[in-house]
Amino acid sequence: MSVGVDIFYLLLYVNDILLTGSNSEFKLRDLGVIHYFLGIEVQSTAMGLMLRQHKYILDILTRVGMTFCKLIDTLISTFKVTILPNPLFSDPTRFHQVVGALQYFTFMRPDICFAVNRVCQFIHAPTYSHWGAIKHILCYLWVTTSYGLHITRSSSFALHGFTNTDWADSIDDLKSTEGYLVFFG
Amino acid sequence: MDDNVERYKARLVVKGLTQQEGIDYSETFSPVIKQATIKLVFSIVVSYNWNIHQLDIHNAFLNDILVKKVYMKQPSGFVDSTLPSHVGQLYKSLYDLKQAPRA
Repeated sequence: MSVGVDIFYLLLYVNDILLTGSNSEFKLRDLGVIHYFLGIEVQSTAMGLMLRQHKYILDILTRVGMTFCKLIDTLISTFKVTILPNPLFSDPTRFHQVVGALQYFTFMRPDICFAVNRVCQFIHAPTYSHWGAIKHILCYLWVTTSYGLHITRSSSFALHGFTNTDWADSIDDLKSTEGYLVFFG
Repeated sequence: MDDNVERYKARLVVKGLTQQEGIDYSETFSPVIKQATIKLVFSIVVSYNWNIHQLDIHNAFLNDILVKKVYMKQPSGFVDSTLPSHVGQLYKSLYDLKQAPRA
């Protein structure tokens, strides 16, 4: 909404609200400067804002029992994750729960998007090798819980789109995986 | 954190499962924000050097004014002994109503 020369932006999710604008006089009760919104921790830095989901990631790792992991700094094996013969994972429900939680980790962690998308492709029939891939991602997260998205000042509001494809790289069905990124500013 | 009770809470919850589509409710969606929108707003905030504040609406689910006519039986234990067969018409939303999340 725009009133004269003042601009306001309002973000609303059920009972969590963000309000920002060029004029900070509001007839609303506010809880102060933003610090925690929809599970995202917001921290001011010299350059801008740091967005993390440190607490949420730790909560899930604790729930899954992955708080004592091997210290690894890669998040997916260079061997391809595939549907090729491998014993089916004994507890597909647990697999689904963890994959479901991983989707929310990707919000402030573009680094894990590809790996999470990859394990999502096997939810219909997860095997022990796919469960291994999930544990690999969880170990990486355990080492990197403090990582986040750093939003920095930008002088331009241009949009830049990038796209790429791996040209039938799947060893299961020769389908392609494509991806895209849109940068603002 | 200790064993002491900080406060007691009670909540009136209706049986939303007895509601019928078209009669007691029409829309059941809940507004959900897109991640791209959140990041976009943060980016604008940082670039313009704005302040960003946070606020909370208490009992957001109870604030919606109902469009449909919804009636509720008197809750057991709180039935008026002189008028036990009377029902109440709800003007505002209650927990578990089908339309509560879109408040």
